[in-house]
Amino acid sequence: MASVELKNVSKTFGRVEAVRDVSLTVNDREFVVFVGPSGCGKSTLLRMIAGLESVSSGEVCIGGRPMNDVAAADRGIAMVFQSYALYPHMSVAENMGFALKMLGTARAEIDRKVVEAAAILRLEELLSRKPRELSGGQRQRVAIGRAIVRKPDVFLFDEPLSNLDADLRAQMRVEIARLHRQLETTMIYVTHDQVEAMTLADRIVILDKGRVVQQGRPLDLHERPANRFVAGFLGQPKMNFLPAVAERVGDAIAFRLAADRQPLFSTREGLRLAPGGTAEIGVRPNAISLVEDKGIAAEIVLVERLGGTSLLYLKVDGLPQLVTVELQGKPAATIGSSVRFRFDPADAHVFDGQGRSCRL
Amino acid sequence: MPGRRNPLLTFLFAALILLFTGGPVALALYGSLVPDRILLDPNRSVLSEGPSLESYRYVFTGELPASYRQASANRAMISDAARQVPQSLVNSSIIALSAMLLNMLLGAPAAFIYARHAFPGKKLSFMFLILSPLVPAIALVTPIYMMLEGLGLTGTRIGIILVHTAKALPFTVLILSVFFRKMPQELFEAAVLDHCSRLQAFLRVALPLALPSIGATGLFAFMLSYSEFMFSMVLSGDAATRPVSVVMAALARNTDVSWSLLNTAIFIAIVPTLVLVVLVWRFVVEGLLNGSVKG
Repeated sequence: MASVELKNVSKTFGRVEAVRDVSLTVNDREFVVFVGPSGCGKSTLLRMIAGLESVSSGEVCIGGRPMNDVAAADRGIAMVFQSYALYPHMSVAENMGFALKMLGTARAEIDRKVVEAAAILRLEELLSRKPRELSGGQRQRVAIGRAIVRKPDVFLFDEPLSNLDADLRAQMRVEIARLHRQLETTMIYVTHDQVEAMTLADRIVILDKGRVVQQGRPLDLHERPANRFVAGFLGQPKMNFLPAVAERVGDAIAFRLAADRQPLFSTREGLRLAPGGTAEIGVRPNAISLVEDKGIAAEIVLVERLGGTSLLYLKVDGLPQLVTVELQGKPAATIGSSVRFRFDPADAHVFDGQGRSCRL
Repeated sequence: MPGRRNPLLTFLFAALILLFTGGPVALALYGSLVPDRILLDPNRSVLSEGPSLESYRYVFTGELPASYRQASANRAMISDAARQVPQSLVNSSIIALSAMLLNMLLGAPAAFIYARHAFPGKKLSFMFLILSPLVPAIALVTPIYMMLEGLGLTGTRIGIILVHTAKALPFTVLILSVFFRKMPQELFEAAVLDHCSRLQAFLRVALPLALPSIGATGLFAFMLSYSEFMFSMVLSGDAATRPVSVVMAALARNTDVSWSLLNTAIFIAIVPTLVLVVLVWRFVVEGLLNGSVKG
């Protein structure tokens, strides 16, 4: 059991800054997910915690102990790799017990711990098989089992599910969540899949270009994104962004579509936004509804019926990208027909010219 | 049927390849089983006379073939060199197996270091290693002879073993380093996290996975050594150290030599490689196939 603390950690590869001045604390028993687009530095950050990558500057502490000069094997961590990295020439049991064997643990002790870990992951029947005789999901369970056997203070997962198909991914997601409750160990999980981040995390850390952009509980980030990047990254389907201009009307600020000056809404809420400036209004697809009159005129370009919900893609004059609308049930909508849509100002996110959230 | 391969054409090509590779071996076998007087007589063949093992008997026991025991026979056709074939087989086996073993023992760790670790002078030394086979062997005969003479290793099997090892080593290192480089980095990171030192990561993870490739490169080194002639000739001494290639050359140089005897020696010389290929090749191919199929 241990916390992980990063103090002003940076990593440069030649001239490329992969991680820039990251400071954050992962509490004991917390499940933290690092998420971001590829190349954002999330894997590098994880590998620095693991000790597979040296730290260019700053300090990594695990359980309060500085770890910069401690070998990877002695940090009390276990890592699950994207490619599983199972030893192809060893059986499942040998794979799981390899670390203990290298430490000189007695044979009987290794066997006992391997069987114990296998029971947690329901791998008992597979112990004598070679990795090539296993399915992708089974291999991943073995990789996790190998980590469990070491009884680490901290589990590190590096995109563990990205090699699995969608079905198995959902299944393994549940399994990992269950494992975290059962083992009560600190876990750090790297993914580019925001669904995994939203469902697994106690806390999400969103990274972009080597920096922490925002961190917090999944729903908090979803509801109160600090900037346009976070707003666009979390949530499926993605948030719509409408370019707009802000005008002061009395003591309120009124927003109009930048393209054709259609009024959007006005608000009295305190906003850190200079009137007359450009802004972007972010609206999640499920916060938009179709209306008979008023609202913004648009044309239906595409309809995706998903069974429970339907996605409508609307073309608004002067707007470069389509507006996505998520409706419950099976609305009668035909491609090419004209519709009008609106949204509640309370559901709107306002971002200034630099993409920062303008909410106080 | 456009786009479909003609099975007859495939068969024809396969037959041609077989004819070129297997033909000489079959001819040598045929020539060794019939005495010269039958081989050179258009009216007689092995079918009318039946196979005869008298040449083999002479090579291994020194018992003169019946046809040469007559007073009028040309005894010069019985080359003394043919009697050296059994000992030369022993010599060649020792030399080639040693070169093979040394190649695997030295080549695999070297290839691993080149493939997976950085050290000063890595690029330069690798370049030297890879380019060294481009130097014509004939240019190196004299300096290497002088070097081994200075070490007192001329006329010994050890001298030949050393030279053959050095000749095959660049290929061994090159082939194996490509193989080690293809191994996923994460495998070794997992090994590091599992408390493996560099040496342990090599011995316990890389080596078992590379065994088929190491076997293949070892076999390659064996073949190279077994068929090498120039250094073997210059560095070997008397019949006690002479490898097969040198003895064969001595036999063939005798313009009067019995065809039957020559063919016998040729076929005997081919047998060890055939056996080795059949034994080792299957293991190597199976290993390579297993390694390449991953889900």
